[in-house]
Amino acid sequence: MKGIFLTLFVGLLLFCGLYCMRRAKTVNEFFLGGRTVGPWLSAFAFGTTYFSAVIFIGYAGKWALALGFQPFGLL
Amino acid sequence: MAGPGQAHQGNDHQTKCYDHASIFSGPVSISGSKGVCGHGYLYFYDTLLCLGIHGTELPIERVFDIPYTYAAIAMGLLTAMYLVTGGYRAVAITDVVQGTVMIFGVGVLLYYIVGSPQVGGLASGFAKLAAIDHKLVEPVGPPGWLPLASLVILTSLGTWGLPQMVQKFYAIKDEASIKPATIVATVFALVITTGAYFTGSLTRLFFDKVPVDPATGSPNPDLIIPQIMMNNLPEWGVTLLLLLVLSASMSTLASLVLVSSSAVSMDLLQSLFPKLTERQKVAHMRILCALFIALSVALTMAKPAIILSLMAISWGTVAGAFLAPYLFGLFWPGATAKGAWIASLTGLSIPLIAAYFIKLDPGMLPTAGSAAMLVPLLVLPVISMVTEKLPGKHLEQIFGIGTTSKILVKNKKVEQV
Repeated sequence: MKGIFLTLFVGLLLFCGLYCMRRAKTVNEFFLGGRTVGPWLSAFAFGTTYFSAVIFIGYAGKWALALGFQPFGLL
Repeated sequence: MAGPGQAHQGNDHQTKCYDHASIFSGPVSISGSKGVCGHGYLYFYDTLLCLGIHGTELPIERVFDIPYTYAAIAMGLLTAMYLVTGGYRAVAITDVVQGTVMIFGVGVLLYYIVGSPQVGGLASGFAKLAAIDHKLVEPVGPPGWLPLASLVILTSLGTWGLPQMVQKFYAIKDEASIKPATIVATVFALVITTGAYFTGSLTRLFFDKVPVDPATGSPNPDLIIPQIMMNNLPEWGVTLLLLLVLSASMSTLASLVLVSSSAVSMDLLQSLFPKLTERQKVAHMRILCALFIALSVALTMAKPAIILSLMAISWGTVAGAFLAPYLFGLFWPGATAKGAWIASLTGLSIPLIAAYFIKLDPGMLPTAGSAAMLVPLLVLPVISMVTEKLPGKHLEQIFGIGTTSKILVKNKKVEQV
């Protein structure tokens, strides 16, 4: 099970890189995806960049233990 | 939670801005001294880089029993492979894969935690928390309003000032895509924050106090979530959560590295060697991406004390240094070079002074971070009012024809005053 999950994950990521390689030949394409990145890709890129592992491990442990449920008041 | 839409709405000139310079054109096009800005703040970026990987060590070592050195190197290599080959588009597509893993991971984590004997379902969980301390279930918990408000400003407004977040707006296809993207990103953010904080809030039912790290003998809050995962989830769930931690980490790292490499290749190298060909520039970016990943893996493993302490303030410092110049640079033709520089330096110095000279209590650092973002928003317009305007030609190039006449009128008013 562990092996299947990991292989699938790593394989998908590597495929993404190779798949996009031929469309990353200029600075504009490499750095900004040719400025043609759609809403779904942009939204996930934004969201996943924002949340690092710290939110699950560090903040969920430290902040929530101290602050209780209060962050929900502001969501 | 700040949706990504606001900073982008109702204007198209950021597109034009981009055509003149790189992502750092916010402060840079105002300051007129391309490159220095991106390079000067790079050091803080390195600390943010560590923040990318930070947090993965304990789950990998304790839960999954893999030596952290190997895991960190493998993670860096994997990130480097898709980033160096495919650039931002590959990063965005992998982000969808990683984001999906994160959503499923959070769902599985919540399902098993809420169903665990310690919690025993949602209603019972709340009742047990209230029995420990009724303040824990109130909207504003024990520390009060100021730290909470600071944390909210830091985490929401901060996204407008962080270059790796702003880069997404330069890359998006068109203005019409912003709205659906805002909705998707907001839903994603709600799922992840709710999951993380919900889990965090319920940890009180698993631990009376912060567990002690057997390796160091001192309490370590980073052990809480890994220990709960290990005790309450089946093997496949634990594997999914390992992928969640890796996903969260790699996606942040890839974006940080891409923007860092652009700061050196597009701002610094291009101004030093203006005659580089397109092929050479892309090659430089690729090499720099690989180097920055190597650097962040090395720094995370070596853990120099200075990096660890800078990490606590890096988010607020970077966002504070860039927020005011970005916002005013995009929306206000009256912003001046000196105004942008002084505002940026103000944002940079507030957390540093708070952390190293006043030696502020760590609990107050989010407050210093949000001050670092808010104060420059006042500094920039004030300084801009009394300093030399940018040449009209430059403004026309950036904001389009017709803006200069308005500016000239404004200038006259200012001069008369």
